[in-house]
Amino acid sequence: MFDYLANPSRFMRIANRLFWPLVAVTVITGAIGLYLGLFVAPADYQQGDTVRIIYVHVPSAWLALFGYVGLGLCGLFYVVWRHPLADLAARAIAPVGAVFALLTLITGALWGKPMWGAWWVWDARLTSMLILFFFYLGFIALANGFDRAERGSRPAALLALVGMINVPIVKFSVDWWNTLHQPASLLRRGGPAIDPSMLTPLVLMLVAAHAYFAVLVILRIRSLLAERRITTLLLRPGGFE
Amino acid sequence: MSPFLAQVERDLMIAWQNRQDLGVMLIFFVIIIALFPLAIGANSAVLDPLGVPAIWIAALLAILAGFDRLFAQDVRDGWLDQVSLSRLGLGWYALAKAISHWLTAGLPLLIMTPLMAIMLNIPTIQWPPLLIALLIGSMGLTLLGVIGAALAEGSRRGGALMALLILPLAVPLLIFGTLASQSADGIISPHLMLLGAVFAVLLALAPLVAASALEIGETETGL
Repeated sequence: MFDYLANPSRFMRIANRLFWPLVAVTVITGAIGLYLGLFVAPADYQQGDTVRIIYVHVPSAWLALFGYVGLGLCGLFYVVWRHPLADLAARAIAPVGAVFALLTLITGALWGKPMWGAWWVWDARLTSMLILFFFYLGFIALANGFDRAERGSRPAALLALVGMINVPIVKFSVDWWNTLHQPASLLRRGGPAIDPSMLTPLVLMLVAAHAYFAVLVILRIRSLLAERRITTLLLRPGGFE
Repeated sequence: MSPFLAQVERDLMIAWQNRQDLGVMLIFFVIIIALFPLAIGANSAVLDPLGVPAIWIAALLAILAGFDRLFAQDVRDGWLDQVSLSRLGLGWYALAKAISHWLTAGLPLLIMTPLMAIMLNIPTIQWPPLLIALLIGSMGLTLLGVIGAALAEGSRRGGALMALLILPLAVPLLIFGTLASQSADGIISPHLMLLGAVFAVLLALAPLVAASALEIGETETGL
């Protein structure tokens, strides 16, 4: 399958065919999910209306992690098979993942202020999401840190691979660090099952967020591909330079 | 002499020729530690618990600051090309770099630490766990620094970029290191073991990643 998709123009043909259906999925599930989440779903009996932020917060957190796994896989494909598309995909995923990580932190802070009385708590989950955000920024800076764009591909892919191994260790160490200092966890882990009235909008929003992620990544791969083509054209003898 | 030891010896000799850099690094370490009381205030009730973390943060910054141009000279004068053609290989070369860098940065820092511990009022009973954790931690940080220096080699903003790459990945070393340094249950605490485990992972990982990154850097500069 990878060989089949390895051809950039074939990949783009498939991606373009998927593009509009994905946009449709994003808009439809997103609209229904937001409507159900903001107007229909009941307010939580403890948290009131602030609970509605989970319809943005949870999908963002999922996608921040999803993007990080994607980055690691792209890194693997690039280092092992030197596949240019894997590099483009990683470059396309990184800023999207970073924005979702930032969105997770911001929505979490907005929820934390009324609930915990503080914008920020050095809780294990918050801290590891913050570090994941920094990791994304490091990846972007490294991929674009060289005079020739392609020169950054290999180091960035290697960084993604190192992150694949190290970020779980970071997560583990942060959990360890926090549990020693704060015995009671503020976040309920796997608490009581969510009521269907809240679960339906959440699932819809998750679907919408994944489709949206795919839409953004396809758009970015397209523009990166176009950018590369322009650069090659300009560098060709008889080009503009 | 094996090529590996020759490489270590060469780097040590270069470090000896530039021994002023070592002094700069140590002064940097001492100054960061001195900044903590200045920022926090001289109240010993607040300051004393912060002694061990202050030493760790200063060590982290001082070690990583030394990595800015670890491979730059070797790339420029063609040494790296010779290494990749020789039977030493880039992986062993990276490990040799790590060892010589630790001997010229980590070790002096470790020797300096008891003096800092006195200045920060750290009780002598805490010295053994602190020094052992710092020994393993500084070796781990050195390996991370080798990864960062190899990845960022040839980039436009070497130093700042390296810090951005390495500091998030240094979190486990910092957490387990500070916990092991302050452990109450003897020198061999669970945190020290975890610190050792992180170090072992880095020991396996760093030469491979550095070699892979330097290999591309080396072919690219030839273009």
